Amino acid sequence: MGLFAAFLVILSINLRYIPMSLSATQPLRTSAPRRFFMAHWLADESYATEHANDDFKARAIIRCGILLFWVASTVAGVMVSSHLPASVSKTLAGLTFPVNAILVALSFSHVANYCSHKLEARARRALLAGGCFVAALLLMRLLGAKYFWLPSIGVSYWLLMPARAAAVKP
Amino acid sequence: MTRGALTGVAILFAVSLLVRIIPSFVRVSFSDQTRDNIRTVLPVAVFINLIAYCTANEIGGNAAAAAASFGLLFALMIGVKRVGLLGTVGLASLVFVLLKGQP
Repeated sequence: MGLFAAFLVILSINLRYIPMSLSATQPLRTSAPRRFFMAHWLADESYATEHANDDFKARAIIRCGILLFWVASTVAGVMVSSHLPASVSKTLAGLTFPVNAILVALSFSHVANYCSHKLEARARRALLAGGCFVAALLLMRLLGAKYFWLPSIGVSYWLLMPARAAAVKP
Repeated sequence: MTRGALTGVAILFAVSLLVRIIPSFVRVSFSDQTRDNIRTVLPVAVFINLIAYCTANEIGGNAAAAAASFGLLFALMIGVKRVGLLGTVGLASLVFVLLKGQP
């Protein structure tokens, strides 16, 4: 695969970070160098762990902490893997479920919190969230896992917006 | 570091610049309502899609094990919150490992 093709594939897989950055880093009131590093350290895990009212310090600790643990756990994994019995290595090879499970769990807690907000009927928000989930699966099927992100996030945002607007109507 | 590794780092940094760094410097005048939506609704939209992506990824690989494990994960998160995040993920992962080898 040529370099440009590789760049496009990696870019399409990471497009989801654009809305994440808009909502999690862009609002931060800080200097340009600090904003640069905070933006670069944004990850799925940090986005799912942070809360809307977290200040700069809390977000910096979360993002730096996750980055450091990535490095440390990768080094530890390489060191340990050479000592594992073959049967255990075979079981653990390619095991991505724990990573996906923790992302799902963190994301679900945010969605559940949104659905339980007292400003609007829980059932309506839960139904809308369910609709967004189905739409995401359909778009993933249609566009593929690499390219569905921005259209699907856009559809979800559009579906959820009327619920929010209705909730804050005087 | 090999040339290939340096090229990979350069590509990853270029992507990060485009999708993470530049959007964080964007200065657009949004209305109060839009700013509020970006702060509250947009993250929920992203999280729902993250859930869809992660579950579809695992179910695509091993449907029965993934479905059962995610089912347990959601059941524990809704019904038995004192298990905690790590306990919930640990139990669900254990179920997945035990079931994935089954025919």
